[in-house]
Amino acid sequence: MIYFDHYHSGQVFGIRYRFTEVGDAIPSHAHGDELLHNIIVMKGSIGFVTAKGMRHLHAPLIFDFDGAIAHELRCLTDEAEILNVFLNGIPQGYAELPDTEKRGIFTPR
Amino acid sequence: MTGILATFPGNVFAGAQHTYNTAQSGSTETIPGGAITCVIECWGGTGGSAGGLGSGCTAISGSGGGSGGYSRTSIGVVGQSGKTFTFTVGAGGAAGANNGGSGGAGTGSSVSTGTGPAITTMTDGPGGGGTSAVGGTAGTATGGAAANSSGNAGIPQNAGGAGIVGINGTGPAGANPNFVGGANKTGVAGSPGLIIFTYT
Repeated sequence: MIYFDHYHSGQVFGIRYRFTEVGDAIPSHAHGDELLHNIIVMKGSIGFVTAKGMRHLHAPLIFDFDGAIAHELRCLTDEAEILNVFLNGIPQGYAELPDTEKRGIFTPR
Repeated sequence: MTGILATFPGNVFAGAQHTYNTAQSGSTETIPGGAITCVIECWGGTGGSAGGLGSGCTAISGSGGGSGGYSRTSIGVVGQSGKTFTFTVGAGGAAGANNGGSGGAGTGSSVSTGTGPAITTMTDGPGGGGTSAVGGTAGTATGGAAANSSGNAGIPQNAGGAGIVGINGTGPAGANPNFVGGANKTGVAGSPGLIIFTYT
């Protein structure tokens, strides 16, 4: 299970993800400019998976990467936690999202 | 005398094509003088795409709209100058609202007999609107004497259905969703149908 919640302080925006079990994963995806982010691994370990393979990221770590490259985020230890800080500020419209879209449990749709 | 003159180069019908791609209802198409045959092609309006869901790494786009059906009829129009066909061009469906709203279905297009030669009414159904998880449905097609082709369904969380390729044109595609951003992105409205009368 993956819990998420938006983090917003001043001009800084991010989304925190908490993976409860090994194997939890955010499916492969890529970003345009609006959603570019880095990854701050705050707890545990996650795998950063691209077509070239998996890179192990262990807390504490700030990881910068090319967000245009498709990547999957895979939990490698129970209760791993990351904060993705958006590099171009809060995307337009995110502040107005309903609370159900600002925090909750990610369910693949 | 008239029949002889009709064979001279100066009196040869140069051909004409009349295209209608804005939504309208109960309009008339007038057959031009000198035309021998008319190819009528008709496409239904397309569906709108759904709004996005989620945010950040879990953002997903809505699903694309479906494209309209296509039909074609060819008919002789000698001696029918000034007479008419009646037609309706369907509208495009509405865009889905942000945070997962469904796109709207388009409306159908049709061509039927007016004051001119009798044809079987061509009826081309609209593409359906996309939802968060399901692409819009394909439009149906009936009444074409030469061809009837269903449209294409939209792809779940991806592109709209491709427009059907005709003889003298290609129908509009179902609306693509906004591919980035997730819940903060509305869908995209569908396109009106298309009707082309081609005279030779």
